[in-house]
Amino acid sequence: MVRPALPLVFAILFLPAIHAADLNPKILQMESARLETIRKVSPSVVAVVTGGGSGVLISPDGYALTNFHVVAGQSPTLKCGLADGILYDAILVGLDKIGDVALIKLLPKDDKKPFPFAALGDSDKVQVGDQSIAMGNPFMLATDFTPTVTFGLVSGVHRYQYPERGMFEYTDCIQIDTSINPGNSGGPLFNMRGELIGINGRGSFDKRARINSGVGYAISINQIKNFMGHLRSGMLVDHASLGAVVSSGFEESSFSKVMISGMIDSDASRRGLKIDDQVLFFAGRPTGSVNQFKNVLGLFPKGWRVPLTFKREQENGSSERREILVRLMGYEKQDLNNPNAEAKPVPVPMPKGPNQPKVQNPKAPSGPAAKFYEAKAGYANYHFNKQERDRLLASIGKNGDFKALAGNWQLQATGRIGDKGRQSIVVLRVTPKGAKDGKNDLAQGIFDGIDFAVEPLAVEQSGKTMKDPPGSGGLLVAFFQLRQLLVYGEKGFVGDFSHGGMEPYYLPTPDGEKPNYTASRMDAEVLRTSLGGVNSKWYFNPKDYQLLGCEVSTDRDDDPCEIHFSDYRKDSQGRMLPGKMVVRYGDKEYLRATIDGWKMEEK
Amino acid sequence: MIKHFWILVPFVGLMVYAQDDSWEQAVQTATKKATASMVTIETSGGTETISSAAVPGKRRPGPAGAPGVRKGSGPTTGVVVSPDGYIVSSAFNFANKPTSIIISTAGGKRHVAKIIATDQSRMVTLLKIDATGLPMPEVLPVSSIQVGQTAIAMGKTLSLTPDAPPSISVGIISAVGRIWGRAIQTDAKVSPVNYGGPLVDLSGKVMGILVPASPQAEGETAGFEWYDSGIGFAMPLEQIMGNLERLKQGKDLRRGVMGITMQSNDMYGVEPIVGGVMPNSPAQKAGLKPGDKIISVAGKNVESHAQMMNQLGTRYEGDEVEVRIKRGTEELNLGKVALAGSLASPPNGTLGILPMRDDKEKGVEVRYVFPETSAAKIGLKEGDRILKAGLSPLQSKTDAPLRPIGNREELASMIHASTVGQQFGMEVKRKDGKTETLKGTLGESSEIIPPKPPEKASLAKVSGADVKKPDLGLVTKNSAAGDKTFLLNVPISYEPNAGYGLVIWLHPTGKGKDKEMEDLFAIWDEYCARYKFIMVAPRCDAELGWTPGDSDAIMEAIKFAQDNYNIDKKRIVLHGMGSGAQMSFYMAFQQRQLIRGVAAVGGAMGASPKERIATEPLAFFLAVGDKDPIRESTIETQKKLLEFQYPCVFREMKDRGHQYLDSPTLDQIATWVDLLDRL
Amino acid sequence: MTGWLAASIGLLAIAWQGDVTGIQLAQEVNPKLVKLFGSGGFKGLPSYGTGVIISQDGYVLTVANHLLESSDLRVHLYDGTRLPARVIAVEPELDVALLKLGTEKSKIEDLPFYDVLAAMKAPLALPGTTIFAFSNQFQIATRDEPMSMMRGNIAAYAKLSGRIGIFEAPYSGNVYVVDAITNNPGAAGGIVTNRKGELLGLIGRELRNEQTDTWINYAVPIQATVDVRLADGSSRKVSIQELVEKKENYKPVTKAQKGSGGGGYHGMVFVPNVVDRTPPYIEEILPKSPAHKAGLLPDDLVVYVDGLPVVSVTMLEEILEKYRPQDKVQLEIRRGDKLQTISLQLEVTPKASPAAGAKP
Repeated sequence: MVRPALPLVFAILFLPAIHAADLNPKILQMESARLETIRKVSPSVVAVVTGGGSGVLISPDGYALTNFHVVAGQSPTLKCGLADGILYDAILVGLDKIGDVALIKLLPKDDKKPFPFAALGDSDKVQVGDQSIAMGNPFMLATDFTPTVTFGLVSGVHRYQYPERGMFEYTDCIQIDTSINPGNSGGPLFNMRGELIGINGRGSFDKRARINSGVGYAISINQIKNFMGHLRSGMLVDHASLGAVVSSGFEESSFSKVMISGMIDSDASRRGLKIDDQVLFFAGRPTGSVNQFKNVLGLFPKGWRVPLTFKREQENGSSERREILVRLMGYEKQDLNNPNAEAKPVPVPMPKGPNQPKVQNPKAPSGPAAKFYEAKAGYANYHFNKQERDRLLASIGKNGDFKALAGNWQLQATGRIGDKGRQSIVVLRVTPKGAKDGKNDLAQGIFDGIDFAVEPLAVEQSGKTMKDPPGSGGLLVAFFQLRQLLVYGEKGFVGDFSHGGMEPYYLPTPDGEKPNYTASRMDAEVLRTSLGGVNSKWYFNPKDYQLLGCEVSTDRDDDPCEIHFSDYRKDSQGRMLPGKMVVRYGDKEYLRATIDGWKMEEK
Repeated sequence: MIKHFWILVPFVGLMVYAQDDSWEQAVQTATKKATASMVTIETSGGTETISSAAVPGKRRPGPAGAPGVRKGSGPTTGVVVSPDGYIVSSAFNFANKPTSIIISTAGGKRHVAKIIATDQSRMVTLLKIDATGLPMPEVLPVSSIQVGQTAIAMGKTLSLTPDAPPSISVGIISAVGRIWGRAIQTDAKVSPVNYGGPLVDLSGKVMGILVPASPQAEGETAGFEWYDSGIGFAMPLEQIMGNLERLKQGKDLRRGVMGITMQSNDMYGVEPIVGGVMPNSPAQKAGLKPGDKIISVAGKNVESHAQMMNQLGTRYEGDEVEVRIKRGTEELNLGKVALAGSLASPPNGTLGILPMRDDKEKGVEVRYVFPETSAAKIGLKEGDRILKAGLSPLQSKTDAPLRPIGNREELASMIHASTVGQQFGMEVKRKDGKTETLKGTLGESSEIIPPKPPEKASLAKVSGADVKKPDLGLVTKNSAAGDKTFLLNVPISYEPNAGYGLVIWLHPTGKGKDKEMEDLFAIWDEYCARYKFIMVAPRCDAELGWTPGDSDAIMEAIKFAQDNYNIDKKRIVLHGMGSGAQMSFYMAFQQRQLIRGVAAVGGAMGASPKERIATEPLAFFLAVGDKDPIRESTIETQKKLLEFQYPCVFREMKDRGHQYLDSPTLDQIATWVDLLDRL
Repeated sequence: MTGWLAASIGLLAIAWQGDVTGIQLAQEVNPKLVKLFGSGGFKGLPSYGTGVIISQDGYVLTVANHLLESSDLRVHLYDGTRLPARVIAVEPELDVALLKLGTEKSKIEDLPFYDVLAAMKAPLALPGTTIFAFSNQFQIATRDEPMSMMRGNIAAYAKLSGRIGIFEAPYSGNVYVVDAITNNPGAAGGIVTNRKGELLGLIGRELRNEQTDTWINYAVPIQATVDVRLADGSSRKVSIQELVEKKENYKPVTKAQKGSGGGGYHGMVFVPNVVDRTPPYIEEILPKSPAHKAGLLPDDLVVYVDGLPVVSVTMLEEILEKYRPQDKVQLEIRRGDKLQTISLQLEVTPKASPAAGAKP
């Protein structure tokens, strides 16, 4: 009989204070389990001394999560204490203003010694009635940096809390009766296994003026996971909006549903969403109420593509059900008229939340951490974007070196164009300085015997030509941009050339099958470039760093040209080159072809 | 195998709570065991409110103008600490100085009780009743208290029937070594319902005595505002028992201090370097000097002010700690330093002059000489320039060695470190260019306010038209919180080269509208121009009035003024009325290194004042209408301040209720602010 | 190793069960509660609250607060259904109200509900009992979103205030004081259950504990009964049970005015009541007065009246107001450092008396 013996083993191990004899073994077991969990996770809890809040380490190299409202207004160089009693220098990495999340990085005192860190849990598994442990530094009590530990229940899940002055919208958050107070902000919420399930940041404090009244809220860790790629690449991350206004059907109706009550020109509208459509599912979750809809929307950064299922009543009374893949636009107002623009760095008001940093204007970076900081519009700390970008470029480089191949490029493929039944020959070509004036580069193509030519960098080039061949959304320009990237890297672009964090990437639906966005979805690392008014996103497989595909947008108010590459093989020079390609534009597939050959000449 | 194990066990958690009654039984058994040694304490008489810093979340204000903790009239709790009738409880329960204390022991037997002594550091009070054979609690040693273990807070106040079970609140241990190493922290709900009661573990052993506490404040009510918030404290019973004999002697125990202030306000980020040493303090006796870096206390290395405090926090007056310091390059062991009880520095001496401001020249020019002061006696005249000065140690016959005085600050720090009756000498350059050496004895600080000190107070060069000036007149700023705004009033005649006094107006509750602020500015305009003041007016929550939580907002307003204007550090004054006055006192004691004066109108002080710090002077001006309901408590406030030897002017305004200043008093306050840099 | 694994899996099975019970509790209780929306939204009074369904045809118990003063009372059921509601009966003495969902016409049936009459038969829960609280505090939930769930313990079973006449709570009977922060805006009318999900009481209003001047968290036991002294001097029991059983026919009692005792003549003259909490020292004993006969002396300090602690002259006089001639009063007084119990019988105030009893 092993089982009944276990609790006692535990009691003796961890509870000298309580005579095992006095107590029911079940209780001892529960006590010791809790003690052990706390003992295990305490070292990962951070006292964010600058800003008077809390945080939690999530990686051995010192990355830690906290609240935006803890570090906002502070210098990007911070001081953080750990339970070991030591004060560490730290640097701001990424900011999510609307989600009230900040990623910071502690600098080790000894490079060989890894930081203790908390394992990330799955906040979607958390249920009302579960127990939770909160840790942090309420009221700056931790003068020795050891965290305050509180224990309680999960009071609600998938809660929605309205933004305060347009900031700190807590979507899909966890409600707890575990005591959190001013200063707990940014600190961890753990499940009883010691996994990080949320970041404590808000509470219903109205009753007692910033003193806990039994209702605290934690940002769910699953939401933060979606933003992690962006945060790590040093961005001021923007949240998403659909480009549509939703309302809870009719407040007076006895049942609630989510209806589209307004639309602006957006990807959603191009995908066919209309006013009076009823939203049934969003990113795979049912949307019965506006809160539920906002909860889902809040989970994603701007630019992500997520499936949406809607229902449309027809005149004849019947109703149609459709699933579309929507490219989400930005939440920040200025993005509505300019979806591809970077979020501008904004002045930082404080929340009336648990903490109130002392000053308004960020102070200058100082101290040993300052060398890890670089200011740039649209970034919390550009240093980390460059770091991530260069890491990505290095990994891509392993798949082949194209630097020398600055001469003519040609790709030949055989496949189906649009809905033409038959196979056609496709040729894509780039000739440096190939234009009539001998200055501009020239991109040409032959599609089923018809010739097209574009000068991608020519100023007078018309928008229409840029999208040639018709129906491709700009395949020639895309091929040109691809060559720029592979041959010249950063030098090939004049505008943006940055790491774009992580985004979902959807593999093309196999011929003749219905799209299944759950099955075809994978995570991809994104590189963002811009050149000659063309913004591109390059998607790489984080496993082998092969180029999965790209979105090349010649017109920010229209759909981009999407190319998907697959079936990679080594060429004679050991470079990895795709053997298949699929080109999409909007809802239509333009080309599905097998690549017969690549010709890439030196100068 | 353990690894397997902890992955599984946590699941069991809620089962134990929700599936059978084993948990409830465990709690009831534990509490039953601890009940016998608990007593109920009932008091009569005493004051209605314990004045204190404004209490956050307190909706109903206390008696007119004097917010603070309204001491409930209900019973409180205590715990037996020796069978022959000694009982401990939270000092909070007696903060209202009751006339009579009755204690009911287990079974409901009532006894007359008297207070023996209070541990002013742990805020625990020892009482005595005439009884024997009282049941003792079982003490759980601090060493075996573990963060995360179940902790039950118990009180004996909610039910009057003698044998009614105590009230319980179940939580866990949140931390140990809190409040500078003194307290255990729990998330069980701690409040007046159980202050003074025991915090017990699941075996019914007593870990500590429940008290309100806060690391940022001292006094019986400190930390009260956190009641029931999941932030609760208990003072370890083991340590209380250790001090029992000392307390039985009937003398209060006081926290031990060295008598130094630190150079920086940063408690964590910078090394502990001594800023000021208080006269006659243990630190001074041990030979500690400004600039010394403290490297270890009681054998423990310290790298920050906080770490130093964590070492000293648990110690009492008379305790000895070894202190090691670094002076320049050499490390010194100061040996055993006997700590003093929180000490008042003796009143420092004064010359009786006003110095000229914004003085670029070497030395200090005399702006004004107060009549009948030592300066007057030795014939110091307006316009004289003090070039050198020096103090000779008390009772020493030898003349003071003179050293050059660079500027106002240097002379000030010399005077602030002095004591009354100390011999001084100085070399002065007269208007006619002759230099003389004068000798005298430093006098006591005088509070006389001359009708009109010389207008000319500054030697600042008038800046050219080209100099870009900041916003003048009425300036409105958004607080960082974005939810509040604060106002500034800058004289149109603002001169960037001259230092300006800063008057921070803390409005009475509900009087924070722009209009009301501007009206007040209007009254002050003339003085702001004459004496060079800038006024800043932060706001508090309309309903709650000022709460400690508003400190940030106030500091932010002050900081803004300092960042954007030329502010004279010697004349930063909080000027408040009603709850604003309350807040002024609170802030002044919280921000010693910054605030130099408090001008309170119709408002009493909260918790009793903190000890004087010679190096961080603080002066008070109390004005109240003779018909103001809180006249009494204002007079009480004055008494307290004088006890603590703070310079304090008191003015009673004829035929006035709870109103703002009449013009003569306003005139006086304005002048008083102008005199704050007197030496 | 494999042995361990086996054991582990075994445990896991049990453990999983365990976790489920807590979650089941939430799922089981939630359908029996309604989110209430009515008048309010001014003076910090919330316009939302909570109620508990007590019959399959839609009777609902909640707290008798400002919310009900609305012509347009609405509820959201657990499944998001939105229904009108109307007030059936109110009992101010218990601070509870009975509502009915739907309009007179609409037919409502098969709602999940609590059998309160059964719950009332259960014994009172003891201090130390683990409790779970469910309410729509702070209006966190709307439509089909579940209520907020909290865990705590019964801290005590006690009067809202141990003191007569001071506390202004409508309900003066015993309550469950709990150590969870349950009494938040909109929580009133929510419920407290034991670990089995059995109904223990209704979460009360937001009140301050007058004895400690702090916010108090309490629930009115479902068994609540109070003795009300009526205007005619007689007294009557009122209970939630009666309210629930009589429904439409329930008529609240009209209660006697406070201090209707009018006091009685005792002959103690107390020291002038000057400061806010003047200790009740006897200054003078009127000759031949009950106090005189009982042997009370000047300088005696009255500390208890019939077991109630008195902290000031004001409170003492309030308490004595409740009595009437011929009532017996037991005083505990402090004489020097000794406590003594002295009982005296009040008389009718003599006409000629220079100082009339309680108010000299």
